Amino acid sequence: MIPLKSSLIEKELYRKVEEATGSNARAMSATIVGLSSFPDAPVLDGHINTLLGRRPVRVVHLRGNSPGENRYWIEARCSLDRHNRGVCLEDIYIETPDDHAYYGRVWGGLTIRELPVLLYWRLPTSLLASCQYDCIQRSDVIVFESAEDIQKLGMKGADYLSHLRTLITAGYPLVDLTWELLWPHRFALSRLFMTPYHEQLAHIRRITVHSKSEWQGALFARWCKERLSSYEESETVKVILSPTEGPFTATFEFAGEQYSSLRLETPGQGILRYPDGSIQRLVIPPFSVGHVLERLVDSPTPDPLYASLIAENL
Amino acid sequence: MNENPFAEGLVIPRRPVSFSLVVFGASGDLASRKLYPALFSLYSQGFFEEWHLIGFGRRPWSDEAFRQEVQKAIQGIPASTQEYEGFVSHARYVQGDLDESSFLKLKNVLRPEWDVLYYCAVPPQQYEPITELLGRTGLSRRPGTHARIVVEKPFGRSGSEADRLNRHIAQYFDETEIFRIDHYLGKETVQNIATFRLGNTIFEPLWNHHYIHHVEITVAETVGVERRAAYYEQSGALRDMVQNHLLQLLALVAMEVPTSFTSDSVRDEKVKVLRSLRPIDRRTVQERTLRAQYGSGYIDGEPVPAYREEPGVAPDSTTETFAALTAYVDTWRWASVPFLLRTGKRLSRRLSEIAVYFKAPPVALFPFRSEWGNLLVFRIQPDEGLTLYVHTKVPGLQDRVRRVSMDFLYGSGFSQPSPDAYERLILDALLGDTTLFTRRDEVEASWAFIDPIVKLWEENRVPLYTYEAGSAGPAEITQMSQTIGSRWRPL
Repeated sequence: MIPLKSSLIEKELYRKVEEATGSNARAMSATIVGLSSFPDAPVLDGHINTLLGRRPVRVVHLRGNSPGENRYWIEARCSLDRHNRGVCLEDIYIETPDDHAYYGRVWGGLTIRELPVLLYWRLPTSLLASCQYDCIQRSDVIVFESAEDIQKLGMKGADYLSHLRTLITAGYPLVDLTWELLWPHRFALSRLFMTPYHEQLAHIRRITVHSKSEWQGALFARWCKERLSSYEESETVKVILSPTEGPFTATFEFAGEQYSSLRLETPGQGILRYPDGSIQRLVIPPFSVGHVLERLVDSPTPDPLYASLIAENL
Repeated sequence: MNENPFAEGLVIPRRPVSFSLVVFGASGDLASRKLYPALFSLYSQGFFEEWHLIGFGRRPWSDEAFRQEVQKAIQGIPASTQEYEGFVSHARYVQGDLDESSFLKLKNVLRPEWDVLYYCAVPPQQYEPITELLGRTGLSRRPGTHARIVVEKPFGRSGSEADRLNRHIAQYFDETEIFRIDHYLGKETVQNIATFRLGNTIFEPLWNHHYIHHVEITVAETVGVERRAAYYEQSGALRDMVQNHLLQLLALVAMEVPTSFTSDSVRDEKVKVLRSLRPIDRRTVQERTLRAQYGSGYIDGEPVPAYREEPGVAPDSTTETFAALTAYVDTWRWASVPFLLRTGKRLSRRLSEIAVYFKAPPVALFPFRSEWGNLLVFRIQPDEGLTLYVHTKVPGLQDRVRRVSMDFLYGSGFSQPSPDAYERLILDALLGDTTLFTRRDEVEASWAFIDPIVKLWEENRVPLYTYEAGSAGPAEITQMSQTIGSRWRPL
């Protein structure tokens, strides 16, 4: 077991933040506890680095299965905001050659009491149950990425959906980055059916989704079906998923062989095509994992739409 | 059901579509102190994509000269050279008078496919000619785009003036396109009043006459009349502050729970409060109102002149620089709960706050001061935040009770600083969101309450007291709080 003296860590963090900001740092907003295997750590760090200078957060980097002995170290990274106040990341790194780093009793004392705790879970979600008491009870949200998770678990779509449903039913406050990163797609889709085109929604007969990630495409299609469920004959809408190496596209076929489609090319650009032949180029506001994390630090709540999307029997 | 179910639950960033912002009064104090810095802040946070800032004024400036003025206004804000240059590159200038040819010149500069927001940072007497010219030159209604107009206070000097102005502007702009700005409504703490009340179940059940003894609203300034003597002489504290800021704060505290948090639902509830204000008449004006004017004194150790000695002020002026009144909202919820309002210039401290006094426990089990109920204070400025005062036992072997505070400070409670009120309001106006702006019927209802007081004061039915600059106001004000069995919070 790695011996961590949290009082010493707190003092050292205080000293480092003071050194970096001259006692003019903004108070911490949340703790992010990032669990990853050692090889996966750079991905997690890359995502968290996007918060640098934007939100003051304590980050506990937990890296199990690391080479070498148990070890930990701390850092403070700060930048000044427009009021000349330090916006800092307080980093605590814990590496263990086994899985001890993940134990809630190891890192629990390092979270900031009374502030939200975001668990960024980069391990397979099948392991979530193993720390029900130690980890989950301490967390406001659990961030994970279903498109990677389904591969780690080697599950088929229907089984994985059932697995997620079990987790949500058990009360795990899941925030799925794959779903969150569908925001540009959903934004484009909402624009595709803006007035006056919303009248066509009742006439959709087939949806074809081309996506690099099969799971992401399935999630998007599921969203479409769920949203259309209040229309008569929505149960007869066919969904076709088709993997592609090209840009994400979704085509909506209406009764009478008319089509609408959206196509997301480079980030921030979309093309909408309407049955009357008109084409609209869409500027999509920037969106990334950084934006998701920022939103969660400000308001650590799962998206209720996601829970209903997974729970729905479509 | 939502017309477009795909838009439901989709949180969309608040970004305006391509727009031109036309500032009338581009060289004025308001534009350089508030508008340009607020715009720059929005710009540097990435809120704008395609846009122009168009200054309109009489001064013979070129685009370049205007850009230098804008640059001067923002240079105190930390930013990169690239950001400064990027921002001012969007600025254009149109020199002109309030005549048709100048407005046609403006028309040529505006991109026809972009929305336009006209900001009247000019004296109120120019609102009518500006809107009329915008209408005559086809600039107020532009097919396929939105044309909106922002007007600053004062919105008339009386109910009848406000009504005339409203009717005039309504000829050229729809109500949803008129943004009557009250910058208090853009302040974070003011917006938080509704969130705090309606987002926390522990307070709303207590938010009525059963539990609240009274509410005190204070807007105190240390500054004097400054360069606004000509305007202030015609206005005074009652019209300048109470009719808009203080009554808006009162309405937010006292409104019923709206059915949704949309613009009209919230404003429907506010206007009901304003219409429920118990009128002040000649029988009650002495007891329920107080007016005063500052004499000479010291502010922050520096001697300052009396109001009547300020440049531009008549030596025998009877304009009040301090106003206080006791308001009652005659609704089921607020029956008999006094709302004490006070505002003044040249007071000892710059401070805006709302203090909600809860009733004291019905039986005093502990040695207790009678006026000690719980107290909830919304601090609007400075130190934006909230304080809840509760009673606790003093540590020790005796049963002593003391009031202690539970504090929340916006400055340290959140990781990002609060935006300036103008940032929020300009963005809302660009997006067409009228929630934080005053609707026509709100203006009319507040004037309906204020007009009779103005008349009675003009008839000298209430004495004009004097207070020393740098003090907490006239001593006579204590009478108002004593009448309701309380005392004012010290300034």
